[in-house]
Amino acid sequence: MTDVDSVFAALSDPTRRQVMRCLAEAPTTATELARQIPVSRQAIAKHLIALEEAGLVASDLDGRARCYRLTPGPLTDAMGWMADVGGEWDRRLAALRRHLRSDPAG
Amino acid sequence: MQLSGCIDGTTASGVVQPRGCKVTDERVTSEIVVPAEATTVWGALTDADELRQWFGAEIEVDARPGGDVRARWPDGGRAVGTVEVAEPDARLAFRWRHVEGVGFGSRLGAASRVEFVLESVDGGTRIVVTEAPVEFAFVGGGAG
Repeated sequence: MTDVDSVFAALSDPTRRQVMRCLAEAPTTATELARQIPVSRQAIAKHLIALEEAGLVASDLDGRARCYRLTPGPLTDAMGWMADVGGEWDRRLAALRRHLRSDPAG
Repeated sequence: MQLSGCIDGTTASGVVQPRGCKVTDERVTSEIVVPAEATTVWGALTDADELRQWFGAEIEVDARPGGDVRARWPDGGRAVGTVEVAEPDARLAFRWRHVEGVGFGSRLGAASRVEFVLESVDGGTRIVVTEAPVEFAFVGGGAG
């Protein structure tokens, strides 16, 4: 569906979040990620595909090894949604409070 | 004063944190304590005349499971949805989908779930509202 949705979906998985935490420290290979995270290299590879599809990671060939790195651009969109929606509710709840204060029944 | 808008949960490190809140799972939460009984708050959440006075949109909520939700913003934005949970004075949840307008950018057409939880506290009622996307591009797909 939308880009933002795919970012949320990518981040909804704890292993994928762990992959992103590792990549936030330094770009690295799938093999190295499998060493740091207790799942198989095949599982890591699938998670990396999901993260790449969401635009959250990109990879380059470094000699013979494929090196993965974080590309946090799409996170900005997801964060934008959260800031927008969160801000809307902050405003609405503040208005609700004012409404209840001015309401004789409140 | 007791207003706190917050994005909670956990995710990758190194992410910007707007308004000092913790980022992120796929939901936003905001809460406030209002000086009113829960039953008064329930009325403000479900009565069309009251909603109009604070929501910032023309919104109708048919507060029973399966009831319609329709909202229309002054800028032409529009959302439609369905009530999922209606426990008077305690809990109201609905799914809605923005079907017109640009306010929600790339979220247009995607559905999210909104839930209000009311709790009686000293001095009134605590209202916690949570909104979370409910449609993902690849739910359960691939690397799960």
